[in-house]
Amino acid sequence: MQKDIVLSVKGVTKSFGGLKALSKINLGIGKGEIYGLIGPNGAGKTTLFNILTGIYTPNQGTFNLDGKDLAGLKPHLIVKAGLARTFQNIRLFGNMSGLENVMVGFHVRTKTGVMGAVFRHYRAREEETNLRNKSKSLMDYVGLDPELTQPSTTLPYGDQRRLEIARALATNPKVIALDEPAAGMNPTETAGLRDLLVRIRRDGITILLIEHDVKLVMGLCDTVAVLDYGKKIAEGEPKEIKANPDVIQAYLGGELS
Amino acid sequence: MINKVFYLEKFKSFQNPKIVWLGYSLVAITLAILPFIIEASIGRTWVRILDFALIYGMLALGLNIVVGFAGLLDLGYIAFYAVGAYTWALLASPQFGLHLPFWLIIPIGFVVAGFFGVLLGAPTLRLRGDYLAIVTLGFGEIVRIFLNNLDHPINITNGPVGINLIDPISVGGYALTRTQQIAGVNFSGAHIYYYLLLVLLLACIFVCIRLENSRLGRAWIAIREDETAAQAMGINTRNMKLLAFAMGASFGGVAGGVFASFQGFVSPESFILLESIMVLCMVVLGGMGNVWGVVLGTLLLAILPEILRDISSPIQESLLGGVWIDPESLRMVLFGLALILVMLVRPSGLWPSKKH
Repeated sequence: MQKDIVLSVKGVTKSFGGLKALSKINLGIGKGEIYGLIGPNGAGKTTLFNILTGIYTPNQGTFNLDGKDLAGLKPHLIVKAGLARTFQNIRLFGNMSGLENVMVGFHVRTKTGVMGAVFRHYRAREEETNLRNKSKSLMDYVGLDPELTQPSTTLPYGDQRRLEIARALATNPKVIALDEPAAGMNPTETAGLRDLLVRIRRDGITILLIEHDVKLVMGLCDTVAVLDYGKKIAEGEPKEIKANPDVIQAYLGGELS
Repeated sequence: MINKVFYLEKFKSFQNPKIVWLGYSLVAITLAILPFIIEASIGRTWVRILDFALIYGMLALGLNIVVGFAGLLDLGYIAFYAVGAYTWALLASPQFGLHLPFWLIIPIGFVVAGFFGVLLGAPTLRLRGDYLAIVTLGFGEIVRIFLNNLDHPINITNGPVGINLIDPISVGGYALTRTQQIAGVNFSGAHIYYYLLLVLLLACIFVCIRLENSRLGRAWIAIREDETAAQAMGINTRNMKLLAFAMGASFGGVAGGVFASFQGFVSPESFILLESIMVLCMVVLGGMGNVWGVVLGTLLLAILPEILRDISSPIQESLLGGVWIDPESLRMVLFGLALILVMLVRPSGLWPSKKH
């Protein structure tokens, strides 16, 4: 079956000095799917993430979103093109409230400049009300109370993860890249996260997911790719990955439950 | 619990429009008659001190955009004050024989200082924290040294001697630095400038508050909180930082221009590093990022040292029977002590930003 590819990665290579963190990675992420990226520690998952979101530039290779070449662009232009991310170690704007964090996410889709900010003409006021309302409904969407005024770093851990997702969704992405969203969550929180991801997929946003929780990945993803020592060693449906001898050997070190 | 109820009651009265308007009018009347009271009770020099406090207020609010909102530690901020002052001095003095009207020079000063903000901001974009502070400190000194030495080969700034006989702001042929009689009441130059500076300061406060609660303010605060995350949320950090530098600098430029016209004289001596530090202290002591905190910090730091200077001699005489310590040095000692005390007791400033 031919997938409708939204994000395609072609031959991406990245070295840090003598260390080849990624070599010739090819991925094809289909529209509307949850695409899992797994691999042992140091396999290059986060490096790939940082390349896709513009923090690093690849030494070789390219990637494009809906046919638009993004390799080497600045992070804010990649977000503008429709690829948003969350961070492995949560990076919220600590002293801002949850709602304000989400409102920052709308920056890239809004226009108000100095004149609009100072004089608050009709267009600026309308934009501000609009984005405030949208931010509130996004908070609701991920299951957070929009009226909370406390600094976002004082929120419970699971809520901070959800808030990061809401903030990324605020940029109106085609693809949202989540870097270990379930890390440090208890089983209840993980179940909640799982529901949220399913809802996001249902609403037509493609998810690229790095995750250590194999059970979550295998149960949730439509396609899974496995990285090991900077190389892609397998790509396919969870069923195939579970049965793949290379994966069992390299990553799981034995039988899969 | 009792406290909580009390606060709720207080907020209720804040929501009553009648009480709010009454509050505003009381503040307005106080501000309007303040110079009369001061002039009558403690003398005309204090109106001048108040004027300088208002100028410092504009500077501190401008620096607050850079340091408080965007989180960029700038130790050379006084350079933009200097740029504004010299812009005015060169365009309205016998130096080049130019005498442009104030309504033309104020926007020019605004733009020129903003341009210098971008010019000096651009090379620092990749720097963070201590390194940014070191480079901006250097830039501040470079500007001052340029002003000090641009008297040859072509004499532009008159060097260390400075520029004299700068035109005051004049409206319809009346110079605002002269004493004017309006409706039978005598207004001294300092008194008239007080109103002018007050209007400018209120405008600065207004612009700052509007900026803070906007898309731009949120983007600045996001950069302050986490630059990498701000980029990853689609904020063009380069442009936003340059905008912060430009906005901050243009406040400084306007303040500098008005300062030049008020003094009638500028020289590089007014723009030393200590002045940058002083303005930064006002921002930090008052509460970085909070506009009202910054205003409070400015008033305290601009006025308190003057009070200390005035009262230290009489107090010494009554307690010790003679002036043992020079009031000028004692003033700085007490000033330093007050700063240390505030930083120990209220590390995020007297009136911190609500988000802290």
